[in-house]
Order: sequence, then C-alpha cells, then structure tokens
Amino acid sequence: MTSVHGAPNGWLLETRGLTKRFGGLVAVDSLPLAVGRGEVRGLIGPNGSGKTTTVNLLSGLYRADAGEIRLRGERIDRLRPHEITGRGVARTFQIPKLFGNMTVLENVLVPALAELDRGGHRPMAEILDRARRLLEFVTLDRLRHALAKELSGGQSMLLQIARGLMVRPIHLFLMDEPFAGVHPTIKDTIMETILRMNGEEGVTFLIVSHEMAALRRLCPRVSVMHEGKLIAEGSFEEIANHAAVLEAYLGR
Amino acid sequence: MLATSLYYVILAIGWNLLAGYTGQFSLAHHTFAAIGAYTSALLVQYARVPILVGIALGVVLAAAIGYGLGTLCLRMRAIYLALATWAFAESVRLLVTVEYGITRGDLGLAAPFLFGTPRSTPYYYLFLGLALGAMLAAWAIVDSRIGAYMRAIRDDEEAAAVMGVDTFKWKRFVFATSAVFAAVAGGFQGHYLGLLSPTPMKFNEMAMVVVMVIVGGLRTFPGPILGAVFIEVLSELLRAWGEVRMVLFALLVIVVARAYPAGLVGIFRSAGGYLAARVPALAPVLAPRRLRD
Ligand SMILES: Nc1ncnc2c1ncn2[C@@H]1O[C@H](COP(=O)(O)OP(=O)(O)OP(=O)(O)O)[C@@H](O)[C@H]1O
Ligand SMILES: [Mg+2]
Repeated sequence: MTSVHGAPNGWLLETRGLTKRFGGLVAVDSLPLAVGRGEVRGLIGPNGSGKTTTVNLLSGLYRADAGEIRLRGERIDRLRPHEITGRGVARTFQIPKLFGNMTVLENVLVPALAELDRGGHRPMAEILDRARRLLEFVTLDRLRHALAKELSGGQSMLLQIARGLMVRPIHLFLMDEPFAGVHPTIKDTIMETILRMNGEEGVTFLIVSHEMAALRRLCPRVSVMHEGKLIAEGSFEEIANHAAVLEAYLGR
Repeated sequence: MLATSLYYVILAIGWNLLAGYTGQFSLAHHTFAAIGAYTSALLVQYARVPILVGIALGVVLAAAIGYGLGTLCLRMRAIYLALATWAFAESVRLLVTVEYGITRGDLGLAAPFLFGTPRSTPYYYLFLGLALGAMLAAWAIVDSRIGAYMRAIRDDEEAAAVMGVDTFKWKRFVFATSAVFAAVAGGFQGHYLGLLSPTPMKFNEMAMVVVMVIVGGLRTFPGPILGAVFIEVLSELLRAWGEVRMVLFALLVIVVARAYPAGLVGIFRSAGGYLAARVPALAPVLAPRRLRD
C-alpha cells in the first residue's frame, strides 16, 4: 500500500516538473506542488505568474508540455477535463463561467447529471436535497428559479462554488480568485463555505487569491509562484519575510 | 405544400437540436436529407430492396456519416465547424452531380412512390405522423439529462467539461441524431417526390432551414415548427418572386434576430404575457409557470 507518490497519509495532489509553454513564454515552469489531504492551501503570486495556467493544467483544460500530475497517487495529466472531474476535482473560474440560460438550480444539477452518465446512480431526491442545501449555504436558494445570467458578479461566484460542490466524490476544489470583485458579505459567505466543507466533508482546497486577509484566515500554508516557478512555501509569517517573495512582489 | 411544410418541420427540429440547443452550427443538415434520399432510391433501384428497407438503410448510413463527420469536426471552433460542414456538403453535392452514371446527376434519379401514387393526401398523413414523431423524439431528448448536457455545452463548453460532462461525446451524439432526423425526412420525401436531383443539396436549401429555425425561434421547442410552416407558406405565396425571396428571408432573419431573438415564439410569448396581464383569467393558459422543482 505504500506507493512512492503519496497514498496513505501522502499527498492528495502532487505535481512534478509541471511545465506549460505558450510560444516562447514558459507560463508554468517545472512546478513541484504538493497539497495534503484535507488542506486548505493558498496559491499566490504577482499578476502573470502562472496561477491560472496551473489551475487550467490541474483541471485538464490545458495539456502539460512536460511533467506529471498525480491525484491520490494516480496520474491524471493525460485525462480529459470531465475524466478529472470524475475523479473528484472541481473548480471555479476567475471570471465566472456559468450556464447563463439555465436556472440557478439547473446549474448546480449539471455535475450530478453528468455523474449519472459515468454510471453513478444517486436517487434524484438525494441530488435535489444536496442541491438545495448547497444553494442555501451560499444564500442563493431564494433565486433558484432565476436564470444564471441574471445574477450579479458576487452571486455568480457563489453559484460557481455551489455547483462545484455538487461534484461527487469531491476530493479537491480548485478556486481561481474566488474573492475578486466580490462584496464583503459575499466574501464572508465564501470563506464560511470553504471552512465548513473542509471541516464537515474533508474537501481539500487550493485557493488562488490576491486577498491576503482572507488567505491568512483560511490557509495554514501558502505556496508562492513567480514567473511560473514555485519560489516559496510555508505559513503566512514565513513567506511574508521570505526574501524571494518580497523581491517578486516589490519588483526587482 | 402541406407535406413539404411538414418535411421542413422535421429538418428544422433536427437542426435546432444541434444548433439551437447544443450551439453547433452545422451547414450540412440538408446534405443528410439528401444522403437519406439517394441511399434509399439507389438501393431500391439497383438492389431491389423494399422502399422502407431502403429508407432505413439511408438513415443508418446518415447516422454513421454524421458520427464520422462529428468525430472529425466537433473539436473545431464554431467558425471552422461551419466551414468544414459546408465543404462536406459541397463535396457530396459535387459527387452526386459528377457520378451521373450511377446517380443520373442533374437528369434526376427516379425514386418509386412509396404509396404507388403521386397523389399527395396519403403523404400528407405520413408526414404528419413523421413530424409528430420528430417532435416527440426531440422533446424526449431535450427533457432528459442529455438535454441538460446540450444546454450546458451551448452556454459554456469549458464549464460543462469541468463539471463532468463529456462534451465531445454528447456533441457527436446530437450531431448523429440530427443527421437521423434529416435522413428520415429526406428518405420519405424522395419517395414522395418521385425524382431526386442535386438541386436541394445546394446551400440555398440549408439557408432555408436556418431561416426557418431563426425566424421561428432558435433554441425554443415550438420555434422550428412554427418557423418551417410560416416560411414554407410564405415561400409558396411569393413563388413569383423567385430568388428574390431569399433576400427577403435574409432581411427577415436580421430583423427577427435583432428585435426578437426568440423569433415568432418570442413574439407570441410576449403577446400572451400582455394578454394575460389584461385578462387574468387567461393567465394559466397564456403564461404558464416556467419551472417545476
Ligand atoms: N492561453 C494563453 N495563451 C498565451 N499566453 C497565455 C495564455 N494564458 C496565459 N498566458 C500567459 O501566461 C502567463 C501566466 O498567466 P496566468 O493567467 O496563468 O497568470 P496568473 O498568475 O493567473 O495572473 P493573474 O494574477 O493576473 O490572474 C502570462 O504571461 C499570460 O499572459
Ligand atoms: Mg489568474
């Protein structure tokens, strides 16, 4: 049972040499990222440092030019996005990507319906129950019959989160800038939802954000990227005093 | 004319599944109708199979070609999909025109009448049945979980994929399904007209289907039905105008797309909403509630 790459009390997510190039630009450069089971990990870095590209690689929207990604010890870097989702990875997008012409409720049902196609057989009553409960968490239950395109930016972010939590099983939730441009009350709702899902269901989170205050509350550890590379990792205090981090943020 | 309207209803319903609900603008829909028609007529003529067997085999062939073409084209972005399917449509048309030894090209290929007569009454009932069947089938698809995958794909394909939907598989499924709709309609239409020619394989025919769906209401259930009947009737009334009709239809599409994206269906809905507001007793009929839990 003891595999080299994780398994019992090893990493939930582990990348090695993960690399993505766009033409001459190396957006993600031999990234070694390791996130433990049940962690809430922050991923920070200046604009253009490769955070979104990393999330796109992890969720299968981009194919890596080199390196590997392991989830619970198994390679997922050659899988298509829906296959990665099937193994328990959900995500949100920096700019919300919803099913605009579907209702709020229909949006959160999509992952559960997709699960049926993979041979899942959750009873519809149970699916609806979870959908409604999650919508209630994120304060959108009242709007469940509204079209998703009618929501505000913050509400759209909340809906993305509720929709992602409908993925089952869910081991890893990737969030790209969940707090960007969001009203403070909605920020609180998002933080509560993350902590609650982490506590109650053991969901592991990887949160890309520029919101240091939120990350400080949520994440015991943060990883720092700069120009595609991992330049530091540690507690908030550790990285705040890290020379390379200061240099990356304050300029050369 | 009635049977022909219903023929277009079936084509339009099939194309709406693909373009309206799934967001894949194929320009080869009319070609699948022709594949159904020619396959059947050729098999009946050369292999002496019964007409219904010929039509069935035409449908199977169209589904297989749809599946194959979908495999090749559905990873492309919208504009390339449109171009590739258009190129496919033109290739098939040229093939049918050039291979006149087999297809008799522009001279036309005889297809025996299904009911042994060109009298239109029985065909009208036939097409009525087929159109109803097409509506039921489309309804069953749109109302199922597949319908949810389709709408998710149309709204945001990347989001659908990362929420677990096998987008490629379902786009291809709808592509092949819409080819089946077209081939059923085309197969029976051939044995009603009695003579096949490559003319309806021209782009004009595809344009008519697009016009019908958009004027009726893209991505609405009744849209292709209303649109096909409306445009076909209008087209017959204005027969004397000839090719100029296409210009008129193009203008109509532009006006509708700008003012009423949901087409005739949208117009009827807002009229219904207006009436329901004035006459509350009519409300349950005219403005039914959108959703169940
Ligand atoms: N699809 C793409 N094609 C070409 N270049 C890209 C693409 N996506 C990202 N890049 C480039 O890769 C680099 C990393 O971009 P990325 O979006 O991953 O950064 P980020 O850390 O998410 O930045 P931000 O904080 O602004 O969201 C940038 O230089 C960006 O311009
Ligand atoms: Mg980013």
